[in-house]
Order: sequence, then C-alpha cells, then structure tokens
Amino acid sequence: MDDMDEEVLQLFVEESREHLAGIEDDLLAMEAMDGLDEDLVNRVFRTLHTIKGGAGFFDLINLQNLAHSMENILDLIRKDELQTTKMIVSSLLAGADTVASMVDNLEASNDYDISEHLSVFDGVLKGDVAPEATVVAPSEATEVNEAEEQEAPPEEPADTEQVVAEGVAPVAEQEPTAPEPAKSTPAAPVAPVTKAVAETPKSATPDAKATPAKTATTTGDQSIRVHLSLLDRLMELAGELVLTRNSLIQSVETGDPALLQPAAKKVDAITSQLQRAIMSTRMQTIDIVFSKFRRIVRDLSGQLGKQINLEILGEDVELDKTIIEALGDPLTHLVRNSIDHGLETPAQRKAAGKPPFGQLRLHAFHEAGQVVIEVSDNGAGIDPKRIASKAIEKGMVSEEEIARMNEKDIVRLIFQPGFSTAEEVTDISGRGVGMDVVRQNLAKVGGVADIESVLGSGTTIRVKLPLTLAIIPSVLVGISTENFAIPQVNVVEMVGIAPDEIKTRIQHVGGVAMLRLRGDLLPLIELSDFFGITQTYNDVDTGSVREERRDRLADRRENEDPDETTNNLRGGVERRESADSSVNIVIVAAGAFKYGIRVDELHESAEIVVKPLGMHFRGSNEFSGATILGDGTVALILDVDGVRRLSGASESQQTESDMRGRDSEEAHDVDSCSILIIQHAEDEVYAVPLQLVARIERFSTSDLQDVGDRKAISYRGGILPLISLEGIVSSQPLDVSTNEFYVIVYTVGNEEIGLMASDIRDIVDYKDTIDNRTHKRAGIAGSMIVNGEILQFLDLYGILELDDPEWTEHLIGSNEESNHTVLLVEDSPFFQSQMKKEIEAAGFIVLTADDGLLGLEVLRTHPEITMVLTDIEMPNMDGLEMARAIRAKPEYKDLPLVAVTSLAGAAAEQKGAAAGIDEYQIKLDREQLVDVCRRLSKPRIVSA
Amino acid sequence: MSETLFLEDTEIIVFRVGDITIGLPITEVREIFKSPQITPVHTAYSYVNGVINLRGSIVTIIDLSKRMSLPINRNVKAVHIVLVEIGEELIGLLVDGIEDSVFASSDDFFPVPATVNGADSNYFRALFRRKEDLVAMLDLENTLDTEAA
Repeated sequence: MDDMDEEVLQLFVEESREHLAGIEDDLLAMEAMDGLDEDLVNRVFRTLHTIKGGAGFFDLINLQNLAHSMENILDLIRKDELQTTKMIVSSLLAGADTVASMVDNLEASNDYDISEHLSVFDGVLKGDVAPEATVVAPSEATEVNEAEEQEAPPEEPADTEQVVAEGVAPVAEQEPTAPEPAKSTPAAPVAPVTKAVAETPKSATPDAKATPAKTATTTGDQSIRVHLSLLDRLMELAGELVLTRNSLIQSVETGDPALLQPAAKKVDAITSQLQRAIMSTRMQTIDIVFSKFRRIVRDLSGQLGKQINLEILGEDVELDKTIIEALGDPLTHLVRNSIDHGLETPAQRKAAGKPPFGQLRLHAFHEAGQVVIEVSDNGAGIDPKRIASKAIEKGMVSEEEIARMNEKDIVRLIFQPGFSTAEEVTDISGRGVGMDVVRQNLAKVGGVADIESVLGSGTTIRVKLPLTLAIIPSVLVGISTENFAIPQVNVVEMVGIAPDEIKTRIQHVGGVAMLRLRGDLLPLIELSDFFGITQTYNDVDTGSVREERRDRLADRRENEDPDETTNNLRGGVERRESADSSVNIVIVAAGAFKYGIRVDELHESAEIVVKPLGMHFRGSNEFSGATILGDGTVALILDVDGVRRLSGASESQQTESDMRGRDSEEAHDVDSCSILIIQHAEDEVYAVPLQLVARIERFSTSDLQDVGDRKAISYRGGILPLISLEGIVSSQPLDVSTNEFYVIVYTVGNEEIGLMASDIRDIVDYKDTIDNRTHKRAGIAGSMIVNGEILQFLDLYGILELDDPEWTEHLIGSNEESNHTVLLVEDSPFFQSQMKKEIEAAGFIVLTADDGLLGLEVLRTHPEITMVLTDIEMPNMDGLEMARAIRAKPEYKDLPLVAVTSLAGAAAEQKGAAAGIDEYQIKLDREQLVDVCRRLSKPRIVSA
Repeated sequence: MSETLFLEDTEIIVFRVGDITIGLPITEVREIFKSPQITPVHTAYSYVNGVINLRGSIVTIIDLSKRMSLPINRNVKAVHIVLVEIGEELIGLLVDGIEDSVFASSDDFFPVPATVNGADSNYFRALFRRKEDLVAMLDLENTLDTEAA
C-alpha cells in the first residue's frame, strides 16, 4: 500500500464516502419498501459494487470481500429472489457501517475482523433465514453508534461491526459515552477534505444528485459544497462589482459628482447582494442532522424493545454550517434521552392507556428571526419530584430553594452541571454528563434550550438558534463616547422619555434605577457605570479604576450604605437627566427577563459582521464580540444576558420580585414578607404588605373627582374610591406638590379601594420581626425598621374601617359564619394578630395558639373547632408535625387543615400534603384567607 | 528556561516601557505602528486598554506599563503599538516609544535578576547587553498569559 498513488487513493476515499452517505437512508427505505423498488436496491448495489471495485484495485481485501458479500445479498433482492426482512436490513446496515469505518481507516481495513459479517451474509445467501440472534447484533451496533462521533478505530475483533458514521457525523465532541475503543487510533489516512468548492455535483449516481447541501458535510469539517448556480451568481456579482469599481474610480478621477452618486449606490446594492449570496453558501439544511436520527431511532428502539414512530418536520430549514455542525451532538443526546428515558415500552404504554407506538418528533421551524428545533416525545415525562430529590441529594439546591420553585423550574434543573436523571448508567444516554453539556454545546453557537414536561404525557425540548453566527442585525447605540451594538433579537423596544417625564418615569428604588413602563417597573442599567466608560479610560494613569467601580456597585446592590450609594446614583443620573434632551432607553430581553439600558444616542439598525474578541475577553460575559463600523471604528456587541448578570439584576420575571431579588440569598426565611414602602408626606413613610396590593397606578391631581364626601377617580371604566391617610393615621395632608400621586389598589370584599400615596419608595423583602406593640394603634398594625428608617406598617383594612366603618362592614359582608371556629396556630405575634383580625372580620370565631404543641392542646379542649390554619415554621412543634399528629387521630381525619406561609412552592406543598395538609395559603392575603375559611370550614358533627 | 532560546544570533527590536528598555526578537514582531484610536473596553484585565480595528480584525491592545504595574509616564506622541502573534491571535502591545533595532549575538544574553527596574522578572526571558545599557527580553507568553493576574 505504500507505493499506492496517494492521489488516486484519496479520490477513492472521497467517492466512497459520498456513496456511503446515502446508503443508510436507502437501506432503511428498503426495510420499509412495499414490494420491490428496483431503483432503490440498484442504488445500494451500485454503491457497494463501486467500493468493491476500488477496494480490489487497491488490494484492500477485507473491504473487497465485505462489499462483495453484501453485494451478493442485494443482487438476490434485486432479482426478487430474497425478501427483505428486518434482520437482513439490520445485517446490511451493520455491514455498511463497517464498510464506512474501513473507508475511513483504509490502512487498518485489513485488520478488521469481518468473519461474523461474512457468515451472516453467507447464511442469508444459503436461504438460512437466520433467527434474529445471528444477526451481527444490532444492539452492539447501536452501542457503537456512540462511537461514531468519536471516529472510533476498530475494536477488539469480537465486535466487528464497528460503526463509523458515513461521514455525516458532524464535529466530534461527544462525551465519552461509548465504550472505550480497545485499540488506539491507527494512523489512518484521513482523507483531506475536498478542495474544490466549485466541484460540480458530479457522477451520475442518484446520490450525487441529491441536494448539494446534503452531500456537503460528507467531505468533512473544513470545506463546503456549493451549488454551481450559487457560484455563478457570486461570479456575476463579483463581475458587477468590478465594473462599478471602475466607474467609481473614473468618477473620482474626473471629480464629477453626478457620476459619483450612482456609482456609490450601486456599490451599496451589490455589496449587500454579495453578502447575502456569500452567506447563503454557508447555509445548509437541517436535514443533514435530522436524517441520521432515522437510523439511531431504529436501532435504539430495537435494542430497548420500544416501538417508536419518528416524525421529522421542517427538514429543509436552513442554518449556518457552523451551527449545523454544532447541533449534531446535542440533538443526538436529546433524542437518545427521549428514547431511553422518555418513551416507555409498549407494555408500559399500554398500562398507561397510550398507543403502543411512542411518538418522537423532530421539528424545525422559523420563529421571530430564529430557528427553533423541538424534540418532543409523548412518553412518560419528567417527574419534578425525582428531579428535586436528585438535585437536593447532589447538593445543587437546598430543600428551601426547591420549596420555592415551581415545577417548570425544577424540571429545568436538569440543565445544571453534573445533573443526570438516569438512575443507572445506560449505554444509551450517558453517564452523568447530561443536559448541561447539551446546553453548553448549544450556547457555543448562540442557542438556548428550554424544557417542558408533563408527567405522564411527554417532554418537549425547545432549542432556539440564530440563523447564522456571522452577521447579526443589531441596533447601534452610543453611550458616552462609545458605540455599542445590541443584537436585534434581544431588543424589545426603544423608549424615549421626554424631559418632563423623566422624574416620574425613572425612579430610584433602594439605589437601583427603575423605569416605569406601562405599569411595569423594569431595572434600568447604566452601562457607563459598569464599563467605567468615561471615567476609566480617558485617564490612562489610573490603574485599578474598574475594580473600584465594581466594589461600589456591589455596595449598591447589597444596600450596605444606601444613603451614599443612592446619592451617587441620583447624582449621576440627575446630571444626565438634567439636560433638556430626552432620555433614550433600549428595552432588552435576556431570556424572559427584561431590563432597560439607558443610551445617549440611538443610531441606526445595521447588519453587523461579528468579529471575535481576543483571549483577554474570555472572562467577560458582557460582550459577545465586536464589529467594525462604517467609519472604521470598533463597536462592541453587548451580550444582554452577560450585562444582566454583571448588573446583578434578578432573573425572576415578576417586576416586584425583580426588586426583591436583591437580597434573595436570605429570602428563604419562611417568615419573610414583601413590603411596599410608600410615602405620604415628607418624613412620613408607611409600609404595606405587597401581597395585598393588586396594582399600583399613577394619576394626576386633576383626575381627582369628588363622589359624595369621598375622593374617587375614574379608572378602568369605573369609579375607584380613594382613601387618604390624612385624618386617619396622619395629620399631614398628602404631598401632591408634583401634581401627581400614586394609588395603591387593593381589594376589600369584591370592591377595589385605592390608597393614595405621594410616592413609591421601595419594595423590600422584610425578614425581621414586625414590632406590633410600640407603634400599634388604630390603622397601624405595627412598625418595622428598614434601612435604618422606622416605618409604620399600615393595616389596610383598619384604615378603611377608620375611614368609613359602615362601608367597610358593607364590603366585608355580614357575620353569617359565626358558628364556625377557626384555630389559628402561628408563632409570630404580628402575623397572628393580623390574620386573626382578618378572619374575624369575615365572621369567624378565631382561637389562637403559638406553636404546634399548644395548637394540639387547644384543639383537644375545643371540639367546636371547624378548621385549622397553621404556620409551618414554629418552635417546639412545627406545622407539619402538628398536622401529622392531628391526622393520626381518627376524629380529625376530615378536619380541614390549611397551611399559611409566606412562601409556598410545589415541593413544600407536596411535603405538606404528605403530612395531611389540605391547602396552602399565603400569609396576609386576606381575600384568599377568608375564601379558604369559607370554603373549607364545615360545622363539625359532634357526636353525642 | 530562557537563555537557551537565544542560542542563535538575533536581530532585536528595542522599545521603551516606562523606565525599562525592552526587546523582542524581530521574528516575533509582526508590525509596528503609531497608536490608532483605541476603543476602550471593559474586561477582567485592567491592563487591557481596548481594541483596535486592524484591517478588519479586532486586535486587543495591552498596555505593557499597566501589565507590569509600572508607573505611567508617557509622551502620547511617542506611543506605538507593537503587534505580536500568540497562538492564533494578534495582540497589540502599547509601548511608550520605539528605540532601535540591534543585532545581538548569543553571547550577549544572560539570566534575568528578580526584578528589572521594578517589573517582575517573570515578564522577561533574558537580559541582553547593548553597549552601555541592558535590554530586557520580553517573555510574550508570560506577559500575555490570562491566567496569571
């Protein structure tokens, strides 16, 4: 072989690969064919025949023999003398895999042990319709499937059916799921990629006539095959460009402006066409990736004894070659997961009342300028409980964290590093390197994965991908002296705020600027604060300025010194905002999280060419690259997710929680509560439990109306009655110096009431005890200290009662429930008295106990109790323990038991349910509380 | 590891960073040019001055004075960029002035002391005696290493 003409050999390898690329699909089609499809069989026959011929020429005896014996089988099939069976197709597939592997390792091909293949084929030839077992085991074939990504060399002779993909397999970065090959890679003459891009789809074989994109990857990673017509188009455009250049030069030389303009326009037009054409050379159909799953699904389902119907949709969706190549591994992983864990065996499916055939669907489609790929199955789905316990067991999250998460978020934990749901390592879906690798691999090409799973009915994984990596439509913005590009996909909208609106639209809540946008409060990020744009870089002499600024930001986030930092920010923003000009804000979305970036200038939208940044940027997540602008200067491309992380803004979706998220580390304290801090007048600040607040609205004083002796406002097509703290708990009038005021809307009974406030100061998670003695009086439930300031905690029902007792009674309704007695077990005196009052207001008799032990005692001595409301976290005996103790007694087995907590979550609820708790309610949510009492409390039939 | 790299006679580009005279073999220098407009960039490394557009590529600019924690005392007009290649990447070194190109024989190199005019010896591979003064031969890999602080 040493004397072999290298070039001819390469040609043989390339041609063989090209032929082999289609053989798998053809064989699978043969399995499905109804009657004899002569063309199909001929095609496979020719492929093997060509390889056989070439192999003979190069003295590749093994390859020649194998191809020959396969050819014999096909010959019989072609002559309709042999019926294609699943078994025959399986052995042909296994044989084709080995052939492909040999082609990739030509030098070692004679070391392959093909005797098993040959004996199987011989058996078939002799009409010995071999039982399934003698097929060169498909199970092993699939196992080795995993090796295909690794381009594994031949293994021990026993496992001859070494499968190396037909070259379709894209980039190799597969986690080591495959059995380690026993031998190290022989120095295989891996065929270099085809050089000529221009190479026309040659040869008359039907394979080569298939879509050019499909065959393209078979040649390897670094080259791409392009349709001749596209190349012609490029030539044409290049020619046009040359002509235009000539006329441009001419017009510049003659200095004739009349000629210059059209020439420039033409250059512009041609350049964009050229760009598009060149881009399209990079585009390939996703079919390249999808098609290999037919085989994988077939083999795996056979191995696992599952019946799976693979549905492929949108295989003609095009993506950038780089992305296509990066997709192979993650998608393979997802598909394997679905087959291994998702879809059940026919027996299991039958037991679950599903059709025996499991459905696996690969669906690619365009959505909002991106490509979405869905891998969905109608299998067993993912049990969030199992995920949760696994995550806790692995120390990835605490039980408290799980308790606060909803099921969807719990399922998403599988994307976390080191998480693998497989109870046991299986050959199919890996050993511990699971979905996080999928996520990371996708992230490398700008993809985002999300999962949705319904226990019992299936799992869908959605992968969102950019169309291309090279050029992205972006919005160019100027901040200070610098330009940045924000990818269009991240831009939600652009908001301009007029100078006179700035004060009301942009607020500083606890040192964080917030933008008020159609009822939402969005965090507002000052990039110059993070990047130290003007401050840091104009002065070359300051070494560690950036570091210092960061520290300050951290301070601000932690609220350690609110006064100083707030002033800093205010100073900064006001300086910027004091100008007559309006403020421009780009609202961006990082996943589901939205925030605003304040910019000085909004430039045009542009298609920017992404240039990579150097190694010194690897640690910085805030930029995804750079681009060169028309004037030759550089603009950095913002990674809005990275910026968000840098800014420390919370990821949670709700706007209130955005603000609360700042001190979320401690938020699992069960007795924490979110409070809204409102200002009534200068120096008069009150706290309101946020859970009671339905909405916050802003009105102008001119909107105020008088309805009877009450202030009101037209609102949402009705009249919203307003109450002011003046004369109730405050002696000062409402500060309306800005001619505007806020209305905190809350509900009493079925009516909405608006509490007027002059300003909204903050929303905080308050964890300390609320002092319900010092400042307690009518309308004030207690007091608390937030950031060194004493706040009075408003009793929203109390103030209403003070304002208009009759009306309140009317709203709350009659006391018809007086025969119901509710036991309230709660250790916090504040919450205890608050809830007691609320439930009593609804007409119940309320007994209280300070912990579980006392609760049991009260319950024992008061048989008239019709339901129990209990806190969970309590000293001596907690709520769950008490619940179990109550349920242990037969006379209480139907007693309604409701847990009241500050933070409920799926996991907590499950634990509660196990202990016998019927429902979970949020503390201080009066409506819910009263509702649950009315619903569940039943007069007990006291046995005589 | 160092002096062995200069077994052969070498032509050296000599430039100034702060008070230190630094040299690089001419084979390691891709280009020298006057500092164009640098786009400041925020990175994890305070010594990264920013990026420039070099004929369509984005090149990171490292301020050698900052890198070596030297006091900065520069004449803006003398500032140059020395373009080097490390790995696959082009990186621009911001230097305070270009001095000379000299021819050095392998005998002229000797080991680096613990510090060189206040800069850590890690940044250098060898010293080179140029008539009366000494030129510190820059160790590109250590200097551009993003692992070390």
